[in-house]
Amino acid sequence: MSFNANEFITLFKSFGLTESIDNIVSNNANNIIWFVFFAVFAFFFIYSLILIYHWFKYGGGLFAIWLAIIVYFSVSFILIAAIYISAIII
Amino acid sequence: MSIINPIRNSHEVFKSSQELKLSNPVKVRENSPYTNSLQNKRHASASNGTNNPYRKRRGIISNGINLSPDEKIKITLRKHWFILLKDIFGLIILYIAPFIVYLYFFDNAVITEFFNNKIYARPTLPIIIFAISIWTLIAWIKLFTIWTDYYLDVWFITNKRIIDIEQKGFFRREISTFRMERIQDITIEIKGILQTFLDFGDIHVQTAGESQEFIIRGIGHPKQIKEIIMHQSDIALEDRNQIPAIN
Repeated sequence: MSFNANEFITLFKSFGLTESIDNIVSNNANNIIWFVFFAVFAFFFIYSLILIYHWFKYGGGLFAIWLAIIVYFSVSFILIAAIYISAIII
Repeated sequence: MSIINPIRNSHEVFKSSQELKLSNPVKVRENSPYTNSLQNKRHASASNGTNNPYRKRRGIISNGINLSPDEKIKITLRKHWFILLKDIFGLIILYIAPFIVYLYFFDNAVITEFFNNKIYARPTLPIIIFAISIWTLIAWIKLFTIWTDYYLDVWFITNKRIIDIEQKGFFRREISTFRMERIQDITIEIKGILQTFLDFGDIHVQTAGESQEFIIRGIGHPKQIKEIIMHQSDIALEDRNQIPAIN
């Protein structure tokens, strides 16, 4: 008994749940992408506030703190810009 | 300004008697904000605060520790850099795992055909950049969380006590102090090839207090640190014996 790939694929395509998910995603792709963007940005914002709070309150050395802030935010802003631009293009 | 060799990381050693020679001594002003950062709080509280130049920095530099008037920080210790690298390595594995899974499974013809004609079956470049950037940002935040936890774990060895500050996640911090004259014994533990070659290990300190032993884990140059602690402990005991008893 050999494995028939076409029958296997047809079986998956006829599954109702996946078709409905596909329809929802197709019709609301733009909203989903912006929702994900703002969720990630909110997560980043809250975590950054927590990190900065701990660095300034318990950090001790100002040079290390400011170096960490510069490195952290410079790379973070590049990533957020990439997310934003790709969301616009999508 | 005198030449002082402070310890910023545990791979450098400072000895108050200047017997140890460092390859790269660093000039630090004796009254610099860093070396006296913990004493600024005492100075600010003693005066009215209006003319104290360090009053503004009290909330920024303070670790929440008050030093006695004749107490000075001899060494500031942090864990060896290899400990941080070990924690970051796990994060790196977790970061590249989705890429490996994607490259492995999406080469399968069946699954590729299943996703055919679906929106997520045609990964255009913006979608790829969108997904990878989000994943990288999350990993980047986690990386700095690991670094913050490493950086805020610190030991201060003063001429009177050892202050153990351990940051256990966000908003959870444990501060323990052990008086120098209560130290009875110090044991060094260096396990494995890496610890031997990189010269870091654990220091077990036996005290006479309620918590009889505390452990300084992952410290570089543990032998030199042990000598410094023993030296300070001897000085503290001598000072204690010289104080006349009050009848």
